[in-house]
Amino acid sequence: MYTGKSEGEVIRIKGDLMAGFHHNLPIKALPYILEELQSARHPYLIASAAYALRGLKTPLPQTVPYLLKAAGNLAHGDDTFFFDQDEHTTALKELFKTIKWHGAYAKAYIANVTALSDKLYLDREGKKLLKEAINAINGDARQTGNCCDEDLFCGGNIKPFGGIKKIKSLVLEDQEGGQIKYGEFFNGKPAVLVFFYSRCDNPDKCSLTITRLAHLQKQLEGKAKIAAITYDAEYDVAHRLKNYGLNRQIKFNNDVRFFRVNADFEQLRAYLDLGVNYIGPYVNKHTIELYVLNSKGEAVASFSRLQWENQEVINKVNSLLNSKKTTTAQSFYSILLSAGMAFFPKCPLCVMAYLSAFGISGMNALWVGNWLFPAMMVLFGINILVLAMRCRTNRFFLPLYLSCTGVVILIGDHLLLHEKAVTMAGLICILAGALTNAWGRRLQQMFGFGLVSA
Amino acid sequence: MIVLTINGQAGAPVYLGWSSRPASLKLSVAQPQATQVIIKTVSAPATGDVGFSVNRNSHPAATLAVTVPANGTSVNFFVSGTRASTENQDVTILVTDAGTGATLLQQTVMVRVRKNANGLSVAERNRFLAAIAKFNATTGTPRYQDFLDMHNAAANTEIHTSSATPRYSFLVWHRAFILDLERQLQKIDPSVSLPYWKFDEVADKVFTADFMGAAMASGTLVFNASNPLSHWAINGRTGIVRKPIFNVQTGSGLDPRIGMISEKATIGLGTTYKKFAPQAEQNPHGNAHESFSIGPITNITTATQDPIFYLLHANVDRLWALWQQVHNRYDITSVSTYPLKGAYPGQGRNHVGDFLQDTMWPWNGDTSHSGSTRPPTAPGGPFPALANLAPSVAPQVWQMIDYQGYAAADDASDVDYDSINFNLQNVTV
Amino acid sequence: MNDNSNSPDQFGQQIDNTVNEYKASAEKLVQANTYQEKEDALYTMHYVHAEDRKAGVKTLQIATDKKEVINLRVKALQIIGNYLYNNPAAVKKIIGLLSATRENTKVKRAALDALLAIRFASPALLSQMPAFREGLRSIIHDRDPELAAKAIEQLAAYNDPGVLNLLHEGLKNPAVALAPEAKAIQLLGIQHTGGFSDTIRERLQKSRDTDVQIEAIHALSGDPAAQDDIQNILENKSKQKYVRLAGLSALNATAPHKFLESAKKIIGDPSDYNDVKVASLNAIAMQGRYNEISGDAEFLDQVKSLTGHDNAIVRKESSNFLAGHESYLENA
Repeated sequence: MYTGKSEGEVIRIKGDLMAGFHHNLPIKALPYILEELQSARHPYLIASAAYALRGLKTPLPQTVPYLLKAAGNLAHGDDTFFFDQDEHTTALKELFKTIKWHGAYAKAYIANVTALSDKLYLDREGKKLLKEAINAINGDARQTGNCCDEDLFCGGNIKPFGGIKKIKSLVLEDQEGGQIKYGEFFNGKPAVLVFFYSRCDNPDKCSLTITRLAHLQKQLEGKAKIAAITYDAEYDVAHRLKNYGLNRQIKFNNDVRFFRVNADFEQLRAYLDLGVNYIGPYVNKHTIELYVLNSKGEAVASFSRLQWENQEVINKVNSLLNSKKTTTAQSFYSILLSAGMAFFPKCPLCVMAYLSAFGISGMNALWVGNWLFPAMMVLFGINILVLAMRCRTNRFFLPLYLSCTGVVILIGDHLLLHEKAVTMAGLICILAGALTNAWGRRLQQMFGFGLVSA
Repeated sequence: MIVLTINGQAGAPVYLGWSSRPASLKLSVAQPQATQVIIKTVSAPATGDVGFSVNRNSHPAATLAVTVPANGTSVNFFVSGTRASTENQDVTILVTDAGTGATLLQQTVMVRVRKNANGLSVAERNRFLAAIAKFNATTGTPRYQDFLDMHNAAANTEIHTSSATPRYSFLVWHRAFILDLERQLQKIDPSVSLPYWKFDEVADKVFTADFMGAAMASGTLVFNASNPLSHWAINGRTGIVRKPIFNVQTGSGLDPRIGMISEKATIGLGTTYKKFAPQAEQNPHGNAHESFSIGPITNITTATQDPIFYLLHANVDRLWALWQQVHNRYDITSVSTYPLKGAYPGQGRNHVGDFLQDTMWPWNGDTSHSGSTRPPTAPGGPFPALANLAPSVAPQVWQMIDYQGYAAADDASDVDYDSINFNLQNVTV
Repeated sequence: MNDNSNSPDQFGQQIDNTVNEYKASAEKLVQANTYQEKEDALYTMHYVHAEDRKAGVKTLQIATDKKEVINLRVKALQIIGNYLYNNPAAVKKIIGLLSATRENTKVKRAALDALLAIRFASPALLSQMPAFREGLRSIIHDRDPELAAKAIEQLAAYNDPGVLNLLHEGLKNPAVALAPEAKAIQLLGIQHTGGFSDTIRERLQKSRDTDVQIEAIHALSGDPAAQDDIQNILENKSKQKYVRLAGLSALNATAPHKFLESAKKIIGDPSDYNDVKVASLNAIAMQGRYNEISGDAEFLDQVKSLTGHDNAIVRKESSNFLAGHESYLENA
């Protein structure tokens, strides 16, 4: 929506959209509003956000600190606007109106609200509005329940995005000018990835993001890789990346790097659905965004729009580190079972071997064994179940399709056809399913062919 | 055989201002007898000169006779600049044998003080321009970005008055800020000092294509081909816009459209810091920024994009230094010198960073007060401290006040102004 | 010299005199009733002290009184700044003069000057910023071109979308231009995300006006799409000196490799101009890019040959360049 639009147009569009929520603001839209209150500097965005907040069915105490922050961000100039009433308003007026509207819901922050008289320079009208807000808070007898019950924090798990394969071959250039592929760097360890650009002139966005990333680096103590990728690859050449990080206390090493993506940044942008827009080569709008990647470089959690809580990110990294062991066990079991099924006496090779060993000439003779076929079907069923779980996790369903095809062929053959070639075909499919389950990625890396994924 | 130490260092190039700096002589190897020496200088009339004294509060003399002990212990004295240098190391201190006249030691010195930008020699001007242009080079390690980040929107409430309560540390913080930049420039060329733009006087040599730029009708500056500022760029964008309201050949900030007060009126704003500083922050400081109709210099968040910022603030700082001299304000224990004693008490109208004992953002790396006035990031790292000089790597407010070291030699920084002398005889601290 | 000919004591006395003179003038102003008395006082005062309430009130009254003689009102506005700094109510009154109907042009100009003079450091003006911006908007079509130009300039610096769009329209259609072309490009180029790059690029390609070209080059200096145009300008010997120099800086800042290509051509071309040669060498040296030319023997020989040039500045710059290169090699 914002692509190709000037910054002024972006501000107007976003402000108008937010103002539209004045009569009904769904909770899902709240992060978009709070984002502007937390970091916007333009008075129209602040005014619209404050105006929109009054569209909530019930005030939320947790939104008050955002209103207070926005009041400070106005320090460089307010302006006049018109919303749907004829009376002109200003960003500061809207902020005070919204604080007033909170009433008792802002009681926990009454000291901070009162302190605005000292923090801001208010004329007579401003002081009057502030006093009205304070009186409204103090005079509101509503029972509001516990403050901060609802978690407004915007982080959470996300489904792994598709298309990771293309991303893995993206070439990243780091702060020393060295090059590495995405799949090589984001591999083997969980990672924390943020986006920024050095020409960002909003101190509450990129500068703060990288400063906080440095704090996170200290707290994570090497448990995860740390990376930042610039939105502005053309301008943010190696030495700019390096200085931006160093000046914000980032300690670079093999696992902590800043990157630019020279070509195909669009692929990464699409994969993560990045919150950035451009006008020509310049960023005209971007959000704050941090991603947690698993040890294969897949995004498994995102914290966007608002400044994240470090502990939430650390918790996510820890959960990835803990689940690695479980995943390893699951993989091993499935591979074992697959391999076991593949090489159970009914496998082609083993059949041949056994046939040779016992001198029996036909597979059908074995198939009519009463106990063998039902037992085989039970084992096949277990294999299909484990495969299905694994494929769903990896979003890679070829092994399942092959194994199911093999089972269907075998059942059909047993019930209808009784053809050696058909039996072979069924067993080959099952074997192929097991092999692709175990070795699919390696085959892809070796041969580069795209494998089916959902 | 004989070792001369000035300001704790021996053998290295020496940079002095007007303040008396401790010095000593000693024999490197013990001798049977003490050595009588004469300390004097060799300098030309157009170069700098230094003087010597036995006591810190004695008037410096052109020569000093001392006895260097035979056993290798030091004899102490003081050395101070008496005339400003025009070139690097253009003064030579000679230590001669009092009996034979033989030269025992030579040490070069530069008397490096901040000068009126309108009176710089061509060489001084070019050295300054080269240093500041290199500091903002587009390649290498562009640390100039820190100076943009230290003076942006997020920093405003920390470093300026932005509410009804004055930010008393405004002058103090900016004194440290421009000293930080000056020391960065001195890493490139140690002979450079920040010139000041005396904005209440005609500065016809400053706003030219050879120096800080000549404005086109639109306000965009042009520079001569050899002027390094022609390559000045901020975030990849070239071209400085700065359109003077005053006539650069005949006018100044006293142009009635600008409303700036004169130097004398500035010094007369009050006899206490509490009266003087908040008013000076507004006029003449604010009016100096607004003596241009357009350009980054006219806006707090963009002012450091234009290198004239440092010349402007050097003059603001000089005015404070002059005020200190006229009203004898060096004693940090006096509220007339600075009103807020002790450290930030945790609450109140005056915020952290305003009290004498507080360390100053961003050099202290403090971002812990987010939610209050302190910015959430602290760019730039620690202050470039120098041995035996103030301030420290995390400067405290009080360390910027007695900048000439009246109370104690180590309280001095390496800043002096050409027109503000060091006169310990007449100052009580 | 460290002998301050104006000793602190002497200077202190002069300051006391200044303060006393002010007090006397301010007292006269407060008491003044006739035109002559007011004129004498206002023209002696130079400024109203921030804390001098009586003088401030009187000065404000003179400034805003439509019945008062114009030159007194103008003078009052010229000296009232300090009083406005912390006085939002007074600021509001001065802002009111901007948008007042049938207000004298000289008074409006003086009012705008007074507000702009305090803008940097006045929290009181900041608290009135909405009204101030509205006041500016009310005069962008003022019959006084100087007043209108100032208002447009200030609003553009605030990224006012209305004014920026008008300026943009004016670039595309000179018949509706609000400002001269060069000025309009300068104002539109303040913000590179303004979306005006295409129009500015077109003007760069088509305009023959030197100032327009310089402004356009600076406005496009971060735009990769303009690099080729800028490089062509730099290499075009028929272009005016300052245009080429602007091109040189812009290319050096955003396409350093292209700049180096051009710089080598310029240095190696005996018919090219001294200024551009000097600036090319200066740019490489000042930007610390010796590492990029260090292996280029041909280029270094060409620079060496410039040390014998007729022009003293060329000789000096080339010598400095080579000295810098030597120093780079020693430290490398």
